[in-house]
Amino acid sequence: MSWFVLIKRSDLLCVWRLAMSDAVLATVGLKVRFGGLVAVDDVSLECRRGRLTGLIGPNGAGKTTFIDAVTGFLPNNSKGSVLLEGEEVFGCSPHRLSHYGLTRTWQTLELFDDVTVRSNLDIASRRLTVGSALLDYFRPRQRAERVDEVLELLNLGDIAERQPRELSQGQRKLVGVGRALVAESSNILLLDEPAAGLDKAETEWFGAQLRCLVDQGYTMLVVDHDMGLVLNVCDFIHMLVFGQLTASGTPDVMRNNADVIAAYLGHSGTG
Amino acid sequence: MIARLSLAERVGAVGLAALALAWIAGALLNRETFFDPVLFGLGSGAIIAALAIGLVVAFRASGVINFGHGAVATYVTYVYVSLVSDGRYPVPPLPNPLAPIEGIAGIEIFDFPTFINMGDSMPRIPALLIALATAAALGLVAHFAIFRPLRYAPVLAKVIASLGIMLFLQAAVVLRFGARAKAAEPIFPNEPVEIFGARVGQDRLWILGTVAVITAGLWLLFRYSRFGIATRAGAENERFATLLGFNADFAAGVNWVMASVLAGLVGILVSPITGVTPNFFTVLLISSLGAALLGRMSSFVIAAVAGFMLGIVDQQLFRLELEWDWIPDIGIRRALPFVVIALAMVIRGESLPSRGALTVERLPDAHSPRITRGRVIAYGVLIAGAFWLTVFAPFQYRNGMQNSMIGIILALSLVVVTGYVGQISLMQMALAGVSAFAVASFVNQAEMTLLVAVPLAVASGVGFGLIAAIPSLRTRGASLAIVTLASGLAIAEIFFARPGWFGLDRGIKTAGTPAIFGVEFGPNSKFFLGDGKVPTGGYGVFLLFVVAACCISVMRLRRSRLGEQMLAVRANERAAAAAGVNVAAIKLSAFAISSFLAALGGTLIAFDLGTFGGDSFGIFASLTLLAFAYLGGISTVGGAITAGTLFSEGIGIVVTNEWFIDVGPYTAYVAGFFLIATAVYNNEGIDGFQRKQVQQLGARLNRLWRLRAPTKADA
Amino acid sequence: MTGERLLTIECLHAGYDGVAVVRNLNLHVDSGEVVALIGPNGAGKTTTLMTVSGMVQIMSGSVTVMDRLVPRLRQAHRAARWGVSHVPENRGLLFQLTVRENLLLAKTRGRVNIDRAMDFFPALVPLIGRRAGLLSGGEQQMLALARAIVAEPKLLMVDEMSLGLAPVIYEELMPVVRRIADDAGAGVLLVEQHVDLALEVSDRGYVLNHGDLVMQGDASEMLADRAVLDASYLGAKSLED
Repeated sequence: MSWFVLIKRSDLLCVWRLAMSDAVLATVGLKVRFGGLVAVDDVSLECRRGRLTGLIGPNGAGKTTFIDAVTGFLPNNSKGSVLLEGEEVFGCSPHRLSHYGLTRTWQTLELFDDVTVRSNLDIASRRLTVGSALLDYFRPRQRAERVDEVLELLNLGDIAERQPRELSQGQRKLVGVGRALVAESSNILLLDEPAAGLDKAETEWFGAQLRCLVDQGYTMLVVDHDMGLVLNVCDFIHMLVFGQLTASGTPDVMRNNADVIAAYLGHSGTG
Repeated sequence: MIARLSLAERVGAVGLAALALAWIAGALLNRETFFDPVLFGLGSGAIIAALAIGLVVAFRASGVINFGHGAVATYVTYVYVSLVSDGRYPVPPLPNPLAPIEGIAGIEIFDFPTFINMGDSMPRIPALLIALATAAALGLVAHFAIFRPLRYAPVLAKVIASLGIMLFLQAAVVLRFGARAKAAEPIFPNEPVEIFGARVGQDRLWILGTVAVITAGLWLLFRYSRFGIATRAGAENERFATLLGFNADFAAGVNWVMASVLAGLVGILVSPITGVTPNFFTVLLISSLGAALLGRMSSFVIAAVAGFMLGIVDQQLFRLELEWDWIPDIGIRRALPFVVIALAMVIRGESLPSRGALTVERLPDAHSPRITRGRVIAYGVLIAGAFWLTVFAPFQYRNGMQNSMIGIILALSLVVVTGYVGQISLMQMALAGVSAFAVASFVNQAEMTLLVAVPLAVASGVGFGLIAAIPSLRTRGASLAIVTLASGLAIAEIFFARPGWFGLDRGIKTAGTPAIFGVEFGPNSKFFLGDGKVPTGGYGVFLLFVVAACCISVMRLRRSRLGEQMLAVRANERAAAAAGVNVAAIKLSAFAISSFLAALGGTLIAFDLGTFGGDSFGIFASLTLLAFAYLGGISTVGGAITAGTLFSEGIGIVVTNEWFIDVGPYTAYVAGFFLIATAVYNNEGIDGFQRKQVQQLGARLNRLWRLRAPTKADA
Repeated sequence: MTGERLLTIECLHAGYDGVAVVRNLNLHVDSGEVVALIGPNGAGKTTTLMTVSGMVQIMSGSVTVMDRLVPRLRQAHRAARWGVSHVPENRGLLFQLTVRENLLLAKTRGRVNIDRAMDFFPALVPLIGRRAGLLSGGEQQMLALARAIVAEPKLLMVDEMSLGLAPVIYEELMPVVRRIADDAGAGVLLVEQHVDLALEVSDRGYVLNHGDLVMQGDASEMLADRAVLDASYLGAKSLED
């Protein structure tokens, strides 16, 4: 695998961490087609435990489509294999994947605007069965500890009882992350364009928040255009161009990778 | 072309071709059975086709499925009839818009002209032109006053507004011209001609030709003219069309005018054959919706052909039901629109072409008040007041309370399914009817005790609701509204309109007096409180208990996890699924709860009325229910309570009648008007409006107080 | 290059839902010149173009097109009638319509001369009856440009022409933009992520980053000063001028 060769050149610590951890999420030969257009072409990549993996690429490279396919939103257009903790989950419905701990955020946030921040998290926090729904209905609700934990983790405690539309864009982004984090058994988080719509300072702050979460043991995959964000906070980066995985490596490697520079600046390889 | 069809479409096409061949063979062998109905079906087929084309035009103009399309046809036809027969042009929209004010004031303010006299009777052509000009004006108003402001509104608001148009225009027709059937002077010659030995009115062929020409004309217009291409462009992506310099608004306005004129024209042309009643075209519209859906709301040719086929198949089934005894008498013919719509949903895929809208506005706020001590006291006072009204107030108030309380339960059923989950259901009264008919049969024919009969009846209502909800897993928005409308029609026609064990007995259904262990508590039973006149307080008190329980349950539902997941589904199905919400299960449970409430309401109606017919549970009852529920506030319990007071012959209406003016005949008219206004200008209904007023007042007082505070500090 | 002033943007703040995406932008385009508006994603380039077309509300500042203030949201279609042609990011093609129908919509009234566009893009001739949705990415971009040419605009705005296209294709398309400015005397405002690509055909350039104008000047000078440009892209220390 090409990334391994690149890793070898990078620092030893990174190699050691890779060897000690295992892949939480891996795709093997994932392919998405829309009619004649191949949006994601045979992508195989891994996200390792406790690390922040970045997925970059120019506009229209298929990054969001990749997330959609992994999280089960494109059952009729995709094929391939998605392994979560080593188990095949391709073809599962999105809500089931969420129960398995494969959760995501959206570029356009898509928060539930009618309910409070706490309820936004609460909805995602546990699976509702007939039994638990009835129990919850007839008995006063027990506070969900997990929700409180995540609210605290993201410093959202003060705004827990407010509605999403009253918050700043950065806070709303965090609520989106919180909603994905709060799942019963959060294994991995896929963040779609978390920095979109944030200004420079907000982006930096947001990046620090993500880094902080990862340092506490969460595993994430971040899709973003903002090279600054991705290069500064990620442990490992993949690049998609025209739906194909064209480069992978640590931020330092990627910063100097000719393909990356070409894709972003339009220099030819020598730039 | 063939390659683009899906498997289901191909199977459907082959099936249709086989059916057509069998039909032709049948016609050659037996003309009377298989050819005559084809000719006779052309008349109704032409109406269905023409209405379907109009629906397609309106949909292309602004992405709205116009449930008011049939009512436009009705109104314009009545205008034409009035012009030709009496030479009088009815001033829209009402006999006298000042009537309610004058009623309250008790004096005549101004002699409002209600008709403009234009001589004794007008020749047909000028009358036709004036009527069509009225149609054009209606189209302009529909676009500029209603659907343009609703451009970015959620589908729910658009559906509600078009239902408002329907109620408003139909009510206007009833108020103005009465409910009796009328027929227009024919424009086409109607001497019969003979075709292959079958005699048929010539006018049918003329109408067939007219509709065919219009279809072809529209097809050409939309295919080759720059205007037509720009309209298609605007329907695909309004933003792109605007960037190219096309005024999507203007195009939409022109299309609305075309759709309206088309509706008026078809009404005027066919009414000599069929006659016209205030809701005639709206009932036919359901078939047209099926035809238009088969054309995916975008193909004129498919919609027209499907419309004609529906008319013909309907006549054919009518004939066969007469001739072939082995066909079970269960009203297959009446369920035809439902069958076609269900098929269209299966064959033509999940959804209608969506429009690239810029933004979508918010849905009404599902406000959930914090339970404070003050609120608990207020609720207590409310219940005590209701108790006094149901037991001690004069009989007309007691009656009004009973109607209102049943109305509240029915409105609550919509709060759950439409308010919380955002699924538009137009079949609630049909579900209520299922359970009303069931409980009557169980109690009277099967002689069950109430404790068994009521749960069984409610369960049957829930069963029907769940079956009809299955499409909601694949469709949403306006398509779902159409499916539920057609289900409601099918249920009403199959079960409530015909005799049988489950159905009517000599035109009525009798539920009798409710009793448990020999204790009667019906509206006519003795009760130890009150003046003893009918309705006594016993049933009212029972209703009050049930209503209070339902309101509290739905309020708790809103707060529970299930309720929050419902709101999540309403807000965003994709995001809900990603957050681990099982969208299908949530929708089905909402339909189950909603059907439960509707069915419960149905059994209560059954015992309230004692004897009843099928028309209490027809599609118009369902539409009116949605109108009131939306008017009150579709997404809150408070809204349902408000809706209940407005309900037909409810307490609000009784109070108005007693204190101000007899609004009875105006109810539907005023409701339609305010329904449109609510959809366009304040989607939270009366309840939300009041809440905002109170909040604003609070904020203002707060500001006042804060302004005062520093001065005090300074001093 | 003393052409007529076609577009003037002064102190523009614009954005969505009360959040400014573009802040304090000053920019102008004259006839006969190609101006590049470059910057990384999310910089506010597209929002700027949308503001000029009247599709995004101005929060403060002014935008003047051909001596007229840009229309309000409701009258956004007027911008095109004044001679502004806007090829949006996703190309603005109507996929349900054929190539011919798409070209026909280039003008709202008057005769449409399709042949002129066909001279630029002979590859489109055999595809004239095909639905735009069935074209390949490159063909779609050609059609979008062809439609802009047919419209005979005074001001042409092209958003992210290279988006999702292979280098071979967009390297062919870029010179066409230059030709529109040179032959027809139109002013062109070119939005691009690809710096070199855009600056090579442009006369002047503006660089936006996170809604702020961080650099402007002569295209050739900007190309020479690569270090600053690269820094603004790859998220090195922010630029302070």
